[in-house]
Amino acid sequence: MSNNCLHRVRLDHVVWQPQKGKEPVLNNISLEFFEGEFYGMLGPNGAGKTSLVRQILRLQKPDQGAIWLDQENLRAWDRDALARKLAFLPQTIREDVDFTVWDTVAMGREPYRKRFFPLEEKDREVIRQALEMTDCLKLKDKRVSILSGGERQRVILARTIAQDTPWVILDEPVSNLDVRHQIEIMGILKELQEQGKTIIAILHDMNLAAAFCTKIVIMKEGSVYAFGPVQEVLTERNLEEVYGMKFEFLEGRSKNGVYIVPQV
Amino acid sequence: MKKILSAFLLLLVALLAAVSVGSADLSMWDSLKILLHRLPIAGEWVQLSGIGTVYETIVWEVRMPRVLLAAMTGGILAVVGSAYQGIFLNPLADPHILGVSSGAALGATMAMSAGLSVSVWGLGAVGLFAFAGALLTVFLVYQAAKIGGSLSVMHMLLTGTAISTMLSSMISLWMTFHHDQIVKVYMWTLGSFAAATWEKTAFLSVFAVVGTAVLCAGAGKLNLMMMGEEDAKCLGVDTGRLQKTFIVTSSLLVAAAVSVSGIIGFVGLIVPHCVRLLCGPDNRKVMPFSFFAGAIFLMACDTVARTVAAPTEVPVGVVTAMFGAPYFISLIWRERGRRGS
Repeated sequence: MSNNCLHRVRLDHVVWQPQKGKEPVLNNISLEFFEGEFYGMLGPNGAGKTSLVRQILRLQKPDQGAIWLDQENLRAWDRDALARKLAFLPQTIREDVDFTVWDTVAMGREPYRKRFFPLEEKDREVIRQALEMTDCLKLKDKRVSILSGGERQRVILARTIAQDTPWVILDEPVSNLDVRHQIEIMGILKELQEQGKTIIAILHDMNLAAAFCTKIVIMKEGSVYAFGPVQEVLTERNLEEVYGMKFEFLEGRSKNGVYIVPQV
Repeated sequence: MKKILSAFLLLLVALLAAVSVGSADLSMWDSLKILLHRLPIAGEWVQLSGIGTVYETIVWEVRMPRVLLAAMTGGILAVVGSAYQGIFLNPLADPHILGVSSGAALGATMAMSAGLSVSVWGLGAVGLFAFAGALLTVFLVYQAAKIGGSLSVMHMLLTGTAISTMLSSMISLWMTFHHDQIVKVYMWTLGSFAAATWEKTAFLSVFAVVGTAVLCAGAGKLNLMMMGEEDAKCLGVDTGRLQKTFIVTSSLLVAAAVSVSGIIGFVGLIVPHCVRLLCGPDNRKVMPFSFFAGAIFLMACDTVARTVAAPTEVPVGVVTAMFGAPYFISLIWRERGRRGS
C-alpha cells in the first residue's frame, strides 16, 4: 500500500440532517481527500460546504455514515491528537477578547504544550515564522480587538500555520482581503502544499481556485456535484448548472488558459 | 514564575501585618517571632523573652486562624470568579452565580432555626448544613441543566440563576414565619470570619490548594475556550470535559468557602477583572494571581472589618464592596486613558 493511501480523509455515505422532516444539509456524501493536494471547494451559498468541512473537523456528528482519517474512524480520535493532524481557519474569530496578536498565534501551539511550562524556543520560532509568512510580524504586540477585518483574517491564518498540521482546512480564507493580500495568501497556501501539507479551502472566487488549486469540489444542495482536476470540473456546463446563470470563458487571459466571468 | 514568587512573598508580608493589627497592639517584629517560634525546627532558635504568653495566644490561637481563613476564602472566591468568567464567557459571572451559595444559605438557615449542635471537620451544625445545602444545589443545577440532551454552559447558567432565586425566596419565606431568626440569618449571609478556628482553616486549605491547582492546570485550555467553543475544539480542547472539570471543582470550592465564612460578595467578581487589567487576559497569569490578590484583598478587608469600629465588627462583605468598588472604577479609568478610548 502506498503512502498516499494511508494518509487521507474519507467520507463514507455521510448524512447530516439537523432538522428532522426537512431536507438533509448533507445528503449521502462519499468523498476521498488524498495527501498533498490543494482542494478548492466551490458552490453557491447553502450548498453545504461549511457543513461538510465541519464534519471533517468533528464539530458536528453525522446522522448516518462515517468519516475516516488515516484509516481510523474520526470519532475514535482524541481532540488533542486531532488538533495535531487537522488545523482549521474559521471565517472569523471572537474580537472582543483582549489577547495580543502574538498570544493568539501562540494558541496554535497549544496542542503541543505541556501544562505549567512556558513556550519552548522551538515553538517561538514556529510562531515567528507564521507571523512573518502572513505579514503580521509588525502587528505582534497589538491587541486583536483593534485590528481591521483583513488583518484579523491574516492573524487567524498565522495561528492556523503555527498549528503546523499535515491537513489545513480553511473556510473562505481570502474573503475579507484586498486583492494583493488575496493573491499573497493563496500563494502561502500553495507554499504550504509544496511543503507537503494538504489544503482544503472553501472559496468563492473560481479564478483564484483555478489558478492555485489542484483539485476542485463543487457542491450543490447538499451533494457533491463534481469532483476532480481543475480543467475537468470547472466547465461552462457545470457552473451554469450549479449557479443557475451564464458564464463566459475568456481564452488566453490568465496563465492557466481561461478567465471565468459571470455574465451580468 | 518570579512574579508568582513575589506575589507569594507579598501575601506573607500582608499576613504578618494582618496578625499584628488589632486592639492588643503588637509590632510586626514580635508577631514574626511568635509565628517563627511555632515552626518545627527554626522555632528552637527564636526567643520569645519579653513577649507575654497572652500575646502569643492572641497571635497564634485567635488572629492567625482568622487571617488564614480570610486569605483562603478570598483566594478561592477570586480564582473561581476568574474560572467562571472564562468558562461562561461572561464578565459578570461570580462564584455565587450557580446558586451554590443560596443553597448554603438555606442549609445554614435550617441549622440555625433547629438549633442543632454537631461538629465534623471543625464545622459546626451551621457550617455542615451549609456545605450539604451547597452540594445538593450543585447536584440539582447540574441535573436540571442536563435535561433534554447534553450539558450546555448557557443552560447551566440560566438554570443556576433560576434555582438560586428560588432558594433565596425559600429563605425569605422561612424568615417570614421565624422573625426571631432574621438578624442571625442576615448577618450570616453577609459573611464573617469571627468564628475562625484552626480546624476550619485546615478544612478550607485542603480545598483551596487542591482545587486551585486543578483549575490552574486548565488555564491554557481556558484561554482557547475564551475564543469560543468550536475554536477551542479545533485547537485540541475536549470542551465538554473541561467545562465539567471547571464547574465541579469550582462548585466544591465555593461550597467549602461559603460554609465556613458566609456569602462574601464582590471579591470573586472584581478581583479577576483587576488582575486582568494589570496583567492581560492570559489565564495562566490571571488565575494564580487572582488567588493571591483575592487572598490579600480579603485579608485586608477583614482586618478593617474587625478593627475599624472595634469592639463592634463590621460585616466583611460590606468592607469588600466599600473599598473594592472605588478601586475597580479607578482601574477602569486608567485603562481607558491608556487605550485612549
